[in-house]
Amino acid sequence: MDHGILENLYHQYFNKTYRTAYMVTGDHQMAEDATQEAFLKAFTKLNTLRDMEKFGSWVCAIAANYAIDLLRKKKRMVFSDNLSRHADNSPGTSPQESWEKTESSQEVREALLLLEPEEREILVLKYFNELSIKEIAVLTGTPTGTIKSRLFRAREKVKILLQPGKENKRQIDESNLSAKL
Amino acid sequence: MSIKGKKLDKLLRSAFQEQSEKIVPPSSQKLWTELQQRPEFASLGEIEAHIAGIQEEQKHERKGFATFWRKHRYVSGLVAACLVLFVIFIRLTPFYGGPGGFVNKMLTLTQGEKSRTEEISMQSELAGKSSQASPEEKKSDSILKSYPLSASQEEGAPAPFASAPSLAEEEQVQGQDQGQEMEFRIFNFEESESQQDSLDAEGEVALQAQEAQELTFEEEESFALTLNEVTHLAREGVWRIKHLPGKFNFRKGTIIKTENTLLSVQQEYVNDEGNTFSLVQQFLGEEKVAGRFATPAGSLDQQIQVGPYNGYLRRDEPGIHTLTWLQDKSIVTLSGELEEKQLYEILASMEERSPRQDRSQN
Repeated sequence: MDHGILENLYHQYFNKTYRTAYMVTGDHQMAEDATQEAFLKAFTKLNTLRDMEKFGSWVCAIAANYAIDLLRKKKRMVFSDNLSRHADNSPGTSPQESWEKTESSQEVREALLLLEPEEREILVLKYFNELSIKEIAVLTGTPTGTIKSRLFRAREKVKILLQPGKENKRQIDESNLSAKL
Repeated sequence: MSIKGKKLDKLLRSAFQEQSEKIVPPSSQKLWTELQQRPEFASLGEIEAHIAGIQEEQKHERKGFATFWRKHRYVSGLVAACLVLFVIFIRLTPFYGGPGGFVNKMLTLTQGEKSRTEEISMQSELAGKSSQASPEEKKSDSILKSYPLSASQEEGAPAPFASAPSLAEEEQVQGQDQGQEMEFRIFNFEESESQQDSLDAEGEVALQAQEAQELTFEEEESFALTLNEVTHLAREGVWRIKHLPGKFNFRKGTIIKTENTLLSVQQEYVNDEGNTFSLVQQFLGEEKVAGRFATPAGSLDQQIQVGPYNGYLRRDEPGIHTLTWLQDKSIVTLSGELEEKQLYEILASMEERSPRQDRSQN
């Protein structure tokens, strides 16, 4: 059977969906699995989608959800190895220098790795997929209030992690962060 | 030093963007082939047909709009520009949009026509009512006729209160019909205003004029009764003449008022020889008027103290005197074909009825 339309949709949105899933999981295999599952589910439910232009956002949100599920199933955090890299600020650097350094995207990316997967998912959907809180709520089937609180918590954690002159904060693990907030 | 909201947003966006560029997705073709081998994929044919229909519809909608826009964009642009220019033209050109503009005049005339139509229908309604009315209702109609507008008053009109009804009777009858009659009078006033002056009338003056009612009386008793009723609306005491000198008799009384304020009271008297004099009291607005009617330096007018108030006496012609004095909230003028002696007699016999007294009585 020729699946021209579905094939076009798949190729059109594959890269974005895969990247979304990878940013949540940090693992290629999980990202691939999440992407395949997301497309399959999206194609199966395609007749429920009113606006075809929303397909891209929709399938990305599904992929992000699948990514979270896969992470939960495997019960492991794939970014824990990266935590040590946060403690590389030399003690002699001034707050201003430290701040300049902290501003780099690399630092932000590393800070993101310390977040809970659900919090990272919200940040990915909001800042990478450019979705609004309402859209995220609809696409993930989560209440708007929950999305807001997760987003707030995630942003606060990133702020703390990026604060200059507080190297010890860079070494705290996720449980410590949760306790602080 | 903490990161502010927008800065953090920017950092997060750029971080995700950079990370996204570093991620190298696998071949979508390979994964697509794998996906097609999944058993769930077999049932997707029907859905695909449905989607094809939706896509076709959306394509047609977009295409239709695009075609229309491509064809008519110049005409549409031209029409829009014309509309904008037309609106600007109307707003700026006095002939159409100014205060005395053609459109406004037309509107005013139309409103005038409308109010005239309403008046006619009211009149016919009243006429119909009076022809079928009971004797009591007819009496109330005669009372209504005793309050015509001075502009529309006809000479020899039937004297009001010919049967001199008691105050209680009058109040009862007025209570039944006054609302309707007052409305009728307002229509008349509005019409004349709109045809003559309303184009230029602005602000408070116009508003006051639109709401003002002019009540004219030829019967002293009805005038006195009505004045009693409206004295509480005055800003200060209303002057009345208690004893008339010589053989002067009441000729006409006019009360101008709004719903809440007494604006003016005019009383005219005439004797057997046809000599007349009048007492006019004009109530002023909130503004201070001290000095407005001060006697100019070098004037032949004689300054006179009327009680606590400053006034002046003017002798325009022999036998014609005008005495004007300025009170706190009104200007009072006593003038007419009177001897100076008679003028002072009238002045001595005048009494002031204060609105406070009247309110307590009401």
